[in-house]
Amino acid sequence: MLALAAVASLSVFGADISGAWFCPNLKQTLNIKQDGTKITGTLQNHIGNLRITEAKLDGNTITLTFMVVLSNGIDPLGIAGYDSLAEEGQVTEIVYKGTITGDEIKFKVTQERLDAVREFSFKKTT
Amino acid sequence: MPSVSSLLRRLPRPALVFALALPLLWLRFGHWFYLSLDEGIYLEGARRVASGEVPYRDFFAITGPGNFWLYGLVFRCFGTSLAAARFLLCLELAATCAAIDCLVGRTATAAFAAAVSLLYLAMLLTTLYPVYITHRWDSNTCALLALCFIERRPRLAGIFAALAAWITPPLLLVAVALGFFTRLRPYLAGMGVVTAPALVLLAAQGALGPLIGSLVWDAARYSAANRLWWGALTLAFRSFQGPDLVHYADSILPAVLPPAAILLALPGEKRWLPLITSLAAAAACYPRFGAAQLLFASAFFWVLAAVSVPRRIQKPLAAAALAVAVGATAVAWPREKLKRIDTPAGTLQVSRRHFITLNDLLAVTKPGESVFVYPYLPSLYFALDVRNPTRYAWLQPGMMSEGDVRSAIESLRARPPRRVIWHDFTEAYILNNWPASDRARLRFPEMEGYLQTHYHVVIPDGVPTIGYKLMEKNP
Repeated sequence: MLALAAVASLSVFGADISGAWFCPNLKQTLNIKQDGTKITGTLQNHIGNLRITEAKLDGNTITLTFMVVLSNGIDPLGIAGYDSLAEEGQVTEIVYKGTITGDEIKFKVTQERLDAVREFSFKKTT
Repeated sequence: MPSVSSLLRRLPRPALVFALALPLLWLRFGHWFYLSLDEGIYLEGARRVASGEVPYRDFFAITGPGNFWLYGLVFRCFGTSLAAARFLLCLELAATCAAIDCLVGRTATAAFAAAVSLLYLAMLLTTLYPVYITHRWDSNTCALLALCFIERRPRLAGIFAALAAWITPPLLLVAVALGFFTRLRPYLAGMGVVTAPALVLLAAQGALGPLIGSLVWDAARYSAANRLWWGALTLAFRSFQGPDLVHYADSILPAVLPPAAILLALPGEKRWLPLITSLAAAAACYPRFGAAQLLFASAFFWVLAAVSVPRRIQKPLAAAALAVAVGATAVAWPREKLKRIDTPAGTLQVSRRHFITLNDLLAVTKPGESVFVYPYLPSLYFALDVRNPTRYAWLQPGMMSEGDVRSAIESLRARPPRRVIWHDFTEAYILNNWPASDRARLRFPEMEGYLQTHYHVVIPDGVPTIGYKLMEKNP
């Protein structure tokens, strides 16, 4: 049994996770491009399309961070404000931390400044 | 074998101030980057110089050539990266701290001189104003070093004074003021050491005429659009406690210090040299007398104020100044969550807001490809390592002439870039930054029409851009 688990984890470690992953809850689609250890891609959900801003793949654990701009104003790029502390309030981070098992990723999702943790399961579609 | 403490005691005090300031400045500003309006003008100009282009002849510039040459040389020697440029900036600012210590220490107690220089350092470390690559930091450092050497080494002072003026031409005012306080022959000889090769180089490159044209352009257009009242602030503050209180004090200090220093200096023993040079340095800020611009010249007024303080109160003031310097730095040292991002300009530390923008653009653009950033965000050329097909790193709304815009359009026609990044300024934003702008020219309809006709908006990967439009050339 242990040997099987080890083989399974090895296969996950070496697997290419590139492709589309779908979660029926909130109709989320995760498009991942893997180039060696570098992971890029997007998440489409009820908020809109978000680009992966940070990604980490460690064995079968994957962490994806998305940053969302909350407000715009007359200076949406924040270039006049030398005060980057003030900019902090304009952005929130959503972190998807998941475990890859075959063609499924189970994510725990947290959002900065919110205590709630939600769980989503994504299945690989392509 | 001498101990470390005995070695430290033998070092001149300004050297110790320099050695303390440099790592702190590097820690704070070495990699910190934000998408500012102006830093890109100098970084991009230096990059163009490093690749063989000539200011005025090949690209538009409104300052002296010194800044472009200086950072161009840095990029040629150490590679094109933000860190290489910022290291030079940190060296200059540490030299300014050391110069303050040196100048104040000539008439004040050693402890007071050191405390004043560290207080100036604390102001730099905690200010919200731009501590990034700009010609004014380079030139004001040179001018302050000229003041430092004017009495004992006039030739060296002449070299620094000329460097200041070649970087920021209005600082010729300081160079002239210094001339009244020294032996003129060696001073002018020192100025000649810089000026003669600079003129020869410009003439050999065919840039002397274009430089004169640029100065004429400045007189006609820059001054009118960039007027700012004394001490004008563009920052907003959320509260007046903790770090914000320090930031607030830092922000008004450059505007408040000059009149305070002059009032302090006038009744006492007349120290004409720091007084006249300080006034010249302030006058050289014309036409922008906003607090952010006065910060660049503020070292002169720190010296003027400090040398005017009566000796009997210097001891308690030194202790207080040191306590304020340490306390303010500890309280207001930035604690924002900076993100590291790998770019062609090196690994940068950016706010999360700018991380999003850079991350999105890095996913789309490739180093070396042709991109036009419109109208005014030249930092992107540098951070993304993309090539500007025009001679204009920026087109400032309310300032540029129709001829400038037409010239940029002709370049776009001749060498169409693959992409355009259009940072769409709102008029409120423009008038907030440049209140004296020509209100009839806040937009450039001819350029906008050209871009809308020949380019279309794209949304890469379906991720909407925020604060700018990304456009691609029509097939």
